Amino acid sequence: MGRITGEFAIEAMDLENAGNVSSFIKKTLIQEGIAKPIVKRVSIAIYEAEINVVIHSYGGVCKYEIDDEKIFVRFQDTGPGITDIEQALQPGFSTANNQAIYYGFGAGMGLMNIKNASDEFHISSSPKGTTLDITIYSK
Amino acid sequence: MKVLEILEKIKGTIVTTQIADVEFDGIYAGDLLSHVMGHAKEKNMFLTIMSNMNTIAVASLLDLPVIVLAEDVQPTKDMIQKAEEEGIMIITTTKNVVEVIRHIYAE
Ligand SMILES: Nc1ncnc2c1ncn2[C@@H]1O[C@H](COP(=O)(O)OP(=O)(O)OP(=O)(O)O)[C@@H](O)[C@H]1O
Ligand SMILES: [Mg+2]
Repeated sequence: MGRITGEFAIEAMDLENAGNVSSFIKKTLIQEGIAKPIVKRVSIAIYEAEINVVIHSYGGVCKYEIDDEKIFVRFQDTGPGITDIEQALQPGFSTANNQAIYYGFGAGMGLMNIKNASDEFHISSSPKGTTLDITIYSK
Repeated sequence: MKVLEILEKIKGTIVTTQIADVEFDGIYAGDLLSHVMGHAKEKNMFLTIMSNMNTIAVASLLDLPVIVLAEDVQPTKDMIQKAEEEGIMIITTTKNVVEVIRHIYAE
C-alpha cells in the first residue's frame, strides 16, 4: 500500500462537525483494506481524541500516517493543556463544560477508551498544548 | 432481528427514507457517548435520547445500523441527511427506553 498521510485542522467547540476527521480516516482505512477489528479500534481511539480537542482545547491539528504495519495518528492542540495527566486518565474524571455535556460528552471515559483501543498511546501536555500519539498495528 | 419485525411493537416511525429494513443484533442503550463508544457492539441497535450530529457520528464509526430516539426526541434535518449518507436508519418513538426494550423482547 505504501504510505498514506494527511492532516486536518480541528476547531474548538465546533460540536456539529466533530467526528468528521475520524469519519474520514475510517473511510480511508476501509478503502485501504485494513481489517475490520483494526478499523474499529482506530475509530474509537481517534474519535475520542478528536472530541477531546474540540471540547477541551483551543483547537489543533490531526495528522495521520498509514503504512503496511501500522496506523499512527497525532493530535496536537494549542492549550490550555492537562494539569494532571494521571488524574485525567481516571475513568469518571472530567472537566467538560455544560455545552459538551449537553452534546453527550463528559463521562470521563474518553482517554480510557483511547488507551484500551490502542497498542501505543502517549500524551504530553503543557499549558501551551497537548500532544496525543496513538499507534495501532495492523498486522 | 429485523426492524420491520419490531417497528409496530415499539410504535416506531422510520424518519430516514433511504433504507426500507435493517437487520440488527442486540441493543445498546445509553446517552453518554464515550460509554457507547467503549461498549456498543457492531450491529447493535443504538437506543438513546441523545439527539445531535454526534449520535450519528458514533453510530457510523461503530457500524450501528439503526438509531432509535426514545421519548419523542426528534432528529434535526441535518441529522437525517447525515444518517442517510451513512446508510443508518433513524426511528422515533414516544415510548421510553425501558418500554422499547420490553416491547422488542416481549413474546
Ligand atoms: N486535549 C485536551 N486538552 C485539555 N484537557 C484535556 C484534553 N483531553 C483531555 N483533557 C482533560 O482530561 C479529562 C478526561 O478526558 P476524557 O476524554 O477521559 O473525558 P471527557 O472528555 O471529560 O469525557 P468523555 O470523553 O467521556 O466524553 C477531560 O475532562 C479534560 O479535563
Ligand atoms: Mg473525552
